[in-house]
Amino acid sequence: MRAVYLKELRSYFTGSVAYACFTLMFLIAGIYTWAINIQGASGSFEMTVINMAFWISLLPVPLLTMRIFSEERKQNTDRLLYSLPLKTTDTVFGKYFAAVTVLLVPTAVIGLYPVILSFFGNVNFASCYSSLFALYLMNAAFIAVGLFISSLTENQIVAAIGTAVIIFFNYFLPYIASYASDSAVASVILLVIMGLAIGLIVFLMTKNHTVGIFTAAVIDFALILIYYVKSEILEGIIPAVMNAVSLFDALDVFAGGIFDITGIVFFISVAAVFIFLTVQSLEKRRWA
Amino acid sequence: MIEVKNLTKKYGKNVAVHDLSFSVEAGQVYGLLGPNGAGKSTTMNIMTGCLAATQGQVIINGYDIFEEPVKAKKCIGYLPEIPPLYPDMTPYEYLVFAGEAKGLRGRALKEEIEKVGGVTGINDVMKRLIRNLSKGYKQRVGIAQALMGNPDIIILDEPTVGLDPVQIIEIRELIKSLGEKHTVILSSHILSEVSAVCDEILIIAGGRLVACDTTENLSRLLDTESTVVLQAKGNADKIISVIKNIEGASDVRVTGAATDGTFTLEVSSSKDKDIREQIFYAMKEAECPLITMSKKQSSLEDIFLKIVSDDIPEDLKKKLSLTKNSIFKESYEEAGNEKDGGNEKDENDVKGENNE
Repeated sequence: MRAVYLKELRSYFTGSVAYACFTLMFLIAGIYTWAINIQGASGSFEMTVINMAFWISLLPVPLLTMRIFSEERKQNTDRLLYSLPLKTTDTVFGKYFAAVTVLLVPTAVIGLYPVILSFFGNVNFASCYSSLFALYLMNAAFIAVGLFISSLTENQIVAAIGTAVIIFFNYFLPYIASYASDSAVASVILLVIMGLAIGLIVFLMTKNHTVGIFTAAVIDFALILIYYVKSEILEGIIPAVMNAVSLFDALDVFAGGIFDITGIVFFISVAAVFIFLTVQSLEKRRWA
Repeated sequence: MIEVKNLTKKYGKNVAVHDLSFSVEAGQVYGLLGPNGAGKSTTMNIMTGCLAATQGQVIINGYDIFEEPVKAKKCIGYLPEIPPLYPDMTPYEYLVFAGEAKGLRGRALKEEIEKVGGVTGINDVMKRLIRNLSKGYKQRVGIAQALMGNPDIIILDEPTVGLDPVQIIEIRELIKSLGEKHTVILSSHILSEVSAVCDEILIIAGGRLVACDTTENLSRLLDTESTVVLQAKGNADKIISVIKNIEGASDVRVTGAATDGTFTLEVSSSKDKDIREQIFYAMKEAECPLITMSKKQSSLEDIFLKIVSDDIPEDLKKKLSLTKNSIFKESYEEAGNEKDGGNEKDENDVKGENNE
């Protein structure tokens, strides 16, 4: 893991990616601090963190993650990674931690802003830093998402846009959720479609008709059974799920001065799931 | 050292490697030979853990590449067809990465880089970006990567493709010198290269192993007749009639005439008969002075073309089945075993024996 980690860090800093990412983050953080804390004469830096979170995730994260695996594949260097005595998990973790380390630098610099602000007014350091920490963890989760997207394509632009689209929709999910139908029929229809989609994915991964159809049939049969036996548990499930998967929603809690352990666990779990998926996607490519 | 057992790789319905079995002994240079699309690269990718096999086993120094990949990969240095280089790195940084991934640290790492750089001759370009290096140097950096950590087995996939003649000779010399301390497997579709560098040749066609033996054995097996090329002075008709009278000479052809009155002829005879002495005395008697005379060696090229052609003649199959490791071996042994019932279990036993 160490070899991959050092190599990745080196390539971030010998290329222009890390510097472009820093510039963007300082620019965004600067604009928001100026507007909210200086123009608005407010000592509440946590509000700045929450407000800038969208842009600070949307732009720098895809920039950091787009090349991670796509470039290796394009340059044929993935052959090297496969043939060196490295485990796939070593490679993935090495690359993930390198990206997270690069992100730590501008986050630490932005951490100086509350100190500067404290010369001119009252700043609640505890809530400032807990929300900045939460922002960092949320971005670390999005980096895992970007890592996974990057492992799917050999085109960096596709990887970047894919990651940005996911972050974009994740931000707007709670707004869309308020318009979503909460009736049991709508829920069951959507879930049945999702069951079919899961069956299709299983089929595409295993290339086995029987397994794919069986998976979809089991999921959909269970859903329809639940609908007829106890339809009330399906009510409101769509908006609830949409709200639950919004990372930005979990971040908002920190601005109120609450250090939310469930939020922290949520960010780390999202990162873990996508790192796991990345390992699977790389392993799967050897079988292609 | 390396044992490949019943390896099969399918891409959808397309079979790239079909039930391939062979074994590789320590301290020799092996050439994997075959036309384009024969499955050479696929086989190498599977042996180095870059690809998974549909079926079969690859055992490297006792470690199964699929079961204990890290241990098995430690014994292998691999240079794929396209050298896997990071253009934004210098060769030094690149070798640091490869060395660290192979578990080298600190002083041992630095010493290894220096040693490998010396062997491959890239010490002069260590501080330049790989992006700016010439193709020959890029290839050397790729080979240097494979050599890092002093692995027992070095696998090179078409190491001389795209190089200029001087570089090709240099790389071949390098491979020969590597063969003294390591087991080297290289793939190529260039025959002169394989016969120049390799001790033993594995010929693959259509994803199957066709033959595996030394160059000399292969040419000995496949020679059906021996040919003598000679140059003599005199009347062409007279020379032909004289040679035709020699016992054992089956065919005489005039292949060229020069202005000074000499003719070039090719004389065929059966494989195990050397008729050069008789020709000499016959020509002396006829007063047609011999200028030159030599025995023509059947080149690997001829063998190869015979072997990879789609319809292999029956007698050739029979001959190839005598080589150490050939698919025809099984078919002939099975044919011999048919009287014993020859059920599936027996066939597997036969295959198992051949692998050892």
